[in-house]
Amino acid sequence: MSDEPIERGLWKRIGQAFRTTNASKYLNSTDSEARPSMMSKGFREALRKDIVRSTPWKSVFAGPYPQTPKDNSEIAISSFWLHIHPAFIRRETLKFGVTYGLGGLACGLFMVLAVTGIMEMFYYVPATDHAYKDMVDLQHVVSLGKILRNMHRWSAHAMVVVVSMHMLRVFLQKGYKAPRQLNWVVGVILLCLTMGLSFTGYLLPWDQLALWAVTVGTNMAGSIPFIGSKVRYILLGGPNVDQATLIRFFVLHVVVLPLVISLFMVYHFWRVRKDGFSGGK
Amino acid sequence: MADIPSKGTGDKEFGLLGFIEGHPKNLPDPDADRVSSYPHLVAREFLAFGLMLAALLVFSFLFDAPLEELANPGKTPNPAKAPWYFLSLQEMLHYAPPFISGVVIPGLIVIVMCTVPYWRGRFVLFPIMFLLALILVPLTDGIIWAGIHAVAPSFADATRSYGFPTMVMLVISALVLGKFVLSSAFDDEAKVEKLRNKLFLTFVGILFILVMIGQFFRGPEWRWVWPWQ
Repeated sequence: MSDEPIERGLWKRIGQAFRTTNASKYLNSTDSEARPSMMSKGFREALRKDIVRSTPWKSVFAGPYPQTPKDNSEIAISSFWLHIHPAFIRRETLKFGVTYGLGGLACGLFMVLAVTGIMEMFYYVPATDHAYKDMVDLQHVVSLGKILRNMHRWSAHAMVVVVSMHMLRVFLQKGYKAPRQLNWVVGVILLCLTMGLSFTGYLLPWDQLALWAVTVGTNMAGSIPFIGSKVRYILLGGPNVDQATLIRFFVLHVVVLPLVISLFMVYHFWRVRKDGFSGGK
Repeated sequence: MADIPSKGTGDKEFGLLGFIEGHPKNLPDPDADRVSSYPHLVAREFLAFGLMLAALLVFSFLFDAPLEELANPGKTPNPAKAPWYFLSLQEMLHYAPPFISGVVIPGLIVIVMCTVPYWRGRFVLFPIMFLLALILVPLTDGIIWAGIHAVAPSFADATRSYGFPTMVMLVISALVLGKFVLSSAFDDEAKVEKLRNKLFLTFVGILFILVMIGQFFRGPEWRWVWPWQ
């Protein structure tokens, strides 16, 4: 810090604080021939230094602003958000054709679905005399509501496709081989949960498509010998697809299944890191 | 050893017991060409996510999600179709009783899928062949049942809803496939490896075809219609 005596008075103190910043010192420096401009590289450098040395920055980011390869490698370890990654990866695994990014895209689609789904919940009441009207309002009254619903719907279909393709890719590359056997099983469960989420969401618009798709689906469960009608009754909350079914599917779709699939996803990612390379191909 | 500072009070705290050749199995290859995952991988992930989001937005602007008329329990659409990813099962429903196509087959497919990593050697082919059997055998349920019906009508009627022919055929196919993978045709491991992917792709392909048939080629009463009809 500077040797100036600490000023008294608020404005003087603020002025002094500004004068002690690298950026201010740079602008006021007289040793260079031309007056330094705010567009210059030197100014940006000085400002960056001010930011990364400030207490708020340091409280958010564990390490310094990354500048060297060593800093880069430490980010993956010290950052909560990035510690899902190893510090180093093989260069060849960066190639798109190795994974086609399908697992990551599935996770990305899940995030899109979570965000758009929560926004849809602001406009949706899971009641048989309300749900369909809410859907029509969402499409025609709510600003960008149509885009919101389209995004959620298409992302849901895309997630079923992407998760299936991810599974196919892992199979063809033998990614399930030791020590990753259990993670393959977790993956199968995740595919089932994805379909379960999609299927429970299918009923919520309460249109003809929803009602009859779920009727067809749950009738199959009703065909189990001896206990079929009981299983169907538990799924539907009654003899037919009605209000009880709607609230059941709604709770499954927005609370139970997202929670369960999140836990399995976290476990899936953790196992990928812990199990290590399966040496497939 | 004099230049290694010792912290303890004794002369030494550990000793070298011996060397083994190679490098530890669980350690990554030390010679591999590596890059730090930040920013190389993280940047690609953000790029992929951004592209995906852009594609979803464009698609959502161009195509509207379907919304039919208000649900009406008194008005059954013909045909009432399941979501597309269940259409392969619904297509199977056309050939086998609902207990088979809606419960037994999907349940077994999930279970067999889970066991895939645990088969060894020539047996890796077994679960995949059985997956194929799981979607092909139910398609013959009606024919076999008709055969049984010709001989013993009352027995056939009593077991119809449980999909008796499919169950028996599945057990038989499991035994046949088990015997088959043990035959000398699969002594060659490289051949097994090649066949493994081909068979799985066939399985996925058949499911895909069943979904396509259900989506585009099925009309009222689940009759065959051409998409342009």
